[in-house]
Amino acid sequence: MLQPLTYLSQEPAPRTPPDTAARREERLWVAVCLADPEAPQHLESLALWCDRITPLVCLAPPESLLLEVRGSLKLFGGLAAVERELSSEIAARRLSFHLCAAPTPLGALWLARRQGANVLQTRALAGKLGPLPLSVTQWPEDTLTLLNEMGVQSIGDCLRLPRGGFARRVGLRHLQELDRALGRRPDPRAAFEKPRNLNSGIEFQSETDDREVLGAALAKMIEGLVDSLRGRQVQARQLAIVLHHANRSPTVSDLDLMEAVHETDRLLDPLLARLESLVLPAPVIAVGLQLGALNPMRLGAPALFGERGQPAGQAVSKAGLIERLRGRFGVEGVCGFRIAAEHRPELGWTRLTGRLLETSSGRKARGRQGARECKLADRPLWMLPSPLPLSQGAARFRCRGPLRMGLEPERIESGWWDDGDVRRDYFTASASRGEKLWVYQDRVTREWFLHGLFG
Amino acid sequence: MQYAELHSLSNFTFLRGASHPQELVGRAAELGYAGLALTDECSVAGIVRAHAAARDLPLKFVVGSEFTTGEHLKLVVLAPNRRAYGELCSLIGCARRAAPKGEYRVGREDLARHLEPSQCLVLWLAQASRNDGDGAWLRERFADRLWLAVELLSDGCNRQTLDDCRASAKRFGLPMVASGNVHMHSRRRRMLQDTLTAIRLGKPVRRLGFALYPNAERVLRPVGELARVYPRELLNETLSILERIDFSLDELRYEYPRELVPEGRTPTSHLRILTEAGARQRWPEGMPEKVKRLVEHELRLIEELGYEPYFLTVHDIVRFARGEGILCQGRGSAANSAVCFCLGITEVDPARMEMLMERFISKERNEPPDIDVDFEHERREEVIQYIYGKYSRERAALAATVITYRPKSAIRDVGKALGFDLDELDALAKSLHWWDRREIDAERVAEAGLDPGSPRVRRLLSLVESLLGFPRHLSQHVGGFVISERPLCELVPIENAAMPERTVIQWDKDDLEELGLLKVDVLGLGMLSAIRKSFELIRAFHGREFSMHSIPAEDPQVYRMISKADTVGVFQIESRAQMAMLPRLRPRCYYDLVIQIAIIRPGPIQGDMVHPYLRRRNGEEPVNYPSDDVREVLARTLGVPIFQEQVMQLAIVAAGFTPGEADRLRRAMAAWRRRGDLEPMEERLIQGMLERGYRREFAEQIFNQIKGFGEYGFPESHSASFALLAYVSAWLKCHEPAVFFCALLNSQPMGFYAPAQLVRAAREQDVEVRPVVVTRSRWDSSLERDDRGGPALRLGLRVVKGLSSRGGKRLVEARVERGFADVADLARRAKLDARDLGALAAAGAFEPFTKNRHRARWSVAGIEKPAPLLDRTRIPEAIPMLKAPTEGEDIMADYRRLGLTLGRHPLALLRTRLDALGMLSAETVRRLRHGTRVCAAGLVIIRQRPASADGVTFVTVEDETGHLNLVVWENIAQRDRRTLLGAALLGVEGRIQKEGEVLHIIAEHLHDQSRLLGDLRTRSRDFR
Repeated sequence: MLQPLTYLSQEPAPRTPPDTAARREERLWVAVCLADPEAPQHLESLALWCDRITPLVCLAPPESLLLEVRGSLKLFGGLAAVERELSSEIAARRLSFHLCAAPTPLGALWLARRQGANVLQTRALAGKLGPLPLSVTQWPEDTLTLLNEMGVQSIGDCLRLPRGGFARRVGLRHLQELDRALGRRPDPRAAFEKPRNLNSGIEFQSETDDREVLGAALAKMIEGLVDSLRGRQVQARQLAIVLHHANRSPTVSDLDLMEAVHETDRLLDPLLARLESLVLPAPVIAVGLQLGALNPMRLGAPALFGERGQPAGQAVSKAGLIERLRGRFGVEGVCGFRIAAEHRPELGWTRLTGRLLETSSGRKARGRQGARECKLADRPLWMLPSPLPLSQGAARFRCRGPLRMGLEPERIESGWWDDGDVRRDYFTASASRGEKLWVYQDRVTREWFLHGLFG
Repeated sequence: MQYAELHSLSNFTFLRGASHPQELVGRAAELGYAGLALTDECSVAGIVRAHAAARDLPLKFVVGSEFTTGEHLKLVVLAPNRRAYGELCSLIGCARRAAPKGEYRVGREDLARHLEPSQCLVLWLAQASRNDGDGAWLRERFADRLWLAVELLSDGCNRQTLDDCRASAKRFGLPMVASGNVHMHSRRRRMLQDTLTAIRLGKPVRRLGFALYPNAERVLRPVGELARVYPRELLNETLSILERIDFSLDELRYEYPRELVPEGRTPTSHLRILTEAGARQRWPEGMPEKVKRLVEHELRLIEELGYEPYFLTVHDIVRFARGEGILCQGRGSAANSAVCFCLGITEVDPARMEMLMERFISKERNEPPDIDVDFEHERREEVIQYIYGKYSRERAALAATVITYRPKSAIRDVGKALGFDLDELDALAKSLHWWDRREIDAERVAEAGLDPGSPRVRRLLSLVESLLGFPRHLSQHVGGFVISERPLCELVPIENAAMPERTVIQWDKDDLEELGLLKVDVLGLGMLSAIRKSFELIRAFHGREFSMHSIPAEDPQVYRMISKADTVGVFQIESRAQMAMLPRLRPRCYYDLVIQIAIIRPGPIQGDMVHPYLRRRNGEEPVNYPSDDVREVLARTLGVPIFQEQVMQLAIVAAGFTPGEADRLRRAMAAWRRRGDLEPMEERLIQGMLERGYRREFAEQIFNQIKGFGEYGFPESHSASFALLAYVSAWLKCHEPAVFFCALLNSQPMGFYAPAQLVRAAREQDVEVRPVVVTRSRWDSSLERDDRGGPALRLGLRVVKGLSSRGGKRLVEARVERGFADVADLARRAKLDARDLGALAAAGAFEPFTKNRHRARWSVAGIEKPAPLLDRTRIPEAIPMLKAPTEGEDIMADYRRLGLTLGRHPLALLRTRLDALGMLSAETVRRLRHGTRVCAAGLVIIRQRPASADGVTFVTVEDETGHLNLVVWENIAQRDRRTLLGAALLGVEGRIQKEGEVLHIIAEHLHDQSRLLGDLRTRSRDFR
């Protein structure tokens, strides 16, 4: 029954660490507070850049970075120099910001949010933080409303309240946060960790549009990449070639592999094939390689067709086949077919290319389901890629003499939503030598077209 | 060659049919069809409109319905006679009530149960039915009332379909008939039909595939085209079916409930007895001769038309409400008759009014009289439950309201169907603000980031345009009850409403009116609640009894107050347009109020009737009449037609309309904005007036006034009832302001003004308003004695925002038991949670216990849920160092937690800063001359954009010295849109427009000055 009593215990003020010069000098934080609404997007890249100032860079979302700079002061020649360095970089990124230095990360952060001045000594913190409005803490709305309704509007107002009472009403967490800001409680922070970077790039001496040169550069990068992949025991599945031009935005070409790989050839071949097919809008001054999703390495993945010393006779995967065919005929040279649920006959089937070709595998064509009310009339097996005016079509397929039209029209009116509206009456027509043609009359222009031939 | 379409769906088959019922009927007649059956899926919601449209056309209109059973058996059921119609309705009703709102469920057995012994005709849609064996089952039950419907839709399989149908027909020995499965009246609706399919299936059109129809053949096709597709005998069969049908909705005879007449009396004698008994109460010394004659006349008319049960029904409902102490009042065409006065349905004394019921009940129109009854808004539900209880759900149901597509919903649904981004649609839908009219202009589209010229946006807009006004679903009418003697379900199907325990019929009020069916409107009115509460407060405080009819009539003091536009809170005449007019019109008697209420309406304003009336009233313009007949009609409004009834009367006396024609004129007036078919009426009216010797000029003027009236014309019969409530509320405000405002505060939300303005108005009338305190406030606001023994208004706990009503009521109960020792005692005994305590503390309601609200907030935040064994334990705590609130903080907290303050107006605190900015106070502005350029600022309390005002927004702002009225023209509103809509403290630059007592600022620039307020939150009330 003692349990309910625990809340009676007062939260004691933590003892300030011994006030020695050495300790006091231990840390100095600079808070970088970005003022733009899109600050969150810039935070990480800026954090990466800050690496060159100090290894201890922390994110303070949504809009701030914290840098521990004590160790860098000597190197840069003082705090002012560090701040200059930071300022010029952030300004170059066209961001508006405010910097503030203080012995505690929260102290620096809160001051920066109100564009306060630097505070260099812990014992000066209470005085400088006191006048700040509570909004700098970014505590939850409820908490701020509660404090506001008690007439508590600044950090200083909080500090004047009894600690136990404050903790019970507002929350222990917030009390501890105040303590951290004032340096009464340690505030360990984890450094921002860089995302692993496998991307690479090569700059050319002069602009080039020679695909050999580009290919060689890619090959060189792949070589390096393969090593890194091995080193990390991962496989790549998504790649992008980035071609930089002098005065225009880069050409980016994404490549999704059928399966994750780490071998030189299986990475390079599709890349080279892709390079062949790319249209270069301008000469290239640099080429880059970017990696997307990585998979853990699967050992013993068999090579295709049992080549390269792998045991022969293993099943050839569809993926591998498609990849190899693509290697031969180019990506656009390989396609599949699927029946589509679509009333317009020319869209009644679709070519599958790229990723779709793979995902369609093994799935039933969902063509004629969902059309309970619509029985489908006969369709010719041989459809023309696009309808031909009837006279031209008849000439092309050497149909002579008058056509005998079937009696029963099939009326198709559909497709208004993509500017491809059709309004047609289809008929089966017989030509003099018994050829069966699929023809239609356009209901708007009244003209006749040939659309297919029955076998 | 002749043909009748027996299977067609209108847009009342929601999200399938792509044409209005009247469009189908019109087109079928154009194509020379012999008949058309409207067979919406398990619904007859569209038949009345179709019936009305077919009335004057050479086309036989047939009622039917399409069903698909749980076993995938698809049928069309047609009603050949009245009995069959009743059977069809009850089948639909059962199927609808067996499923959630908007759906239906029907099985083969239900069909058999409802239709087997019936006379309905059945078309079997064998192509769409799953089970071939259905043929035998159907044949066994419906024998010679069964056909196999053949639908050839040029899908390339016509011949095969026909062959299949022939085989089935032969196998089951059924006759075949052609039908068209019509979904639209014109091929132009193909896009819309595809879009509806997409909305129904919740997928974009481009992904629908075969769920779309392959072509637009589900249309009313020309007979010649049909003859090419169908064998002749199948088309002829439609005619032989048509011949078997002999039913029109005109046959529906309504039977009034009879149980209200005691044994041994006839409805006529019973009504007379009740009327005479009522009259004895009204006039203990005997009826005035004039009224006696009136009553006799009315009773004779009622008897002649057989309307006794209607009056008895309304009387019964009103009698119930009176018995329960629920205040109510009738209005409408028959409500202000002497009979209704005797029956207690209205308090409008016929001796005070020159009203003839005959003006409202017409022998020729043969329509039931119209009585709406308003009840206290908080207690209307009791009345509704009484009606259900008395007549049962089989015989009483609410009329439907057809919810139709409006711009926002249409944009969202069509946009999704066309694959637009939700963000794009949100932007577009949001750019249509609450006040925008129905058209969507290119500017708005561009503002939302879309290119109005691109084909996909053009498609979106044109589809939205055609979808507008399409029904989406049936909802319940606010209070229109249909009550009948026999089960309602044989008259019209009853289906489930969204609210549990509510059912609605499938027709709306226009449908009922079209068919001449009885409807009693049971409506809720906030002012009645407030008046009843006022009477109760007077009884408790002064020990005096008041009722509507015992309020002293025609008190000049009341009219003096009204003429000063001192009418905040008064029923109907409190809006700013009314207030602007009051000092000019200066009402002096009850009938002036009747006019005042009707004249400040969009109709009279647009018909330009206000100014002529004003000039004539002020003697600035002679009043003359082109004839004695016209004088008769218009004398009471000085020759200016103000009421709807006068327009109809004019048509009768000056243009020779029959009363029935005049009524059609009224309906055409109401609808011309939507349909624009007023020309034939115009010709008829002007011709009629010319023939009777009126000048063309006068005739055209009258017609233009009628047109201006449009749908906004206000009937005298309603105005008369409203004027009485306006007078009673004005009397209360004038003589018992504390009582009146207390009752208004306790009836919120209602009326035009928020509590802040009501409290302000009360204090201007020297009412002492006391703050909310936990030691005295009840849940409702209440009256206490002030130093002089008069009433002071104590704000109730209900004004505290964030305080739960249960918590508030527990607090009052605990206090009645024993007063509170301190905050902790209160929290414990009233069992308030942290939220309730916080709300009270921040509202300053702990004033008696703590130094200030900051301290109170601190102490209640420290109170925790009592642990069982530590009930009385106090935690020793250090005294907090909290600052006392400043005046500004107190005011801000008041606004945040109470929505009003008893302290100074917040702008009083900002005055020096406003002075520095060159902003004048309302008082200063009022002293300036017409045409002066001024800057001013105030809290926005009302924004209003009346439909009649041609794009003008009226804004009322308030500062510590009073109100200012701003007129914001459309171009300014467009430019400063965000400020206009968003600013709490609005700064304005503009010119003063002054006309007599009335002052406006014509805004030229608007500025958002809200930042001056810090986080002071005031909310405006936005009115359309």
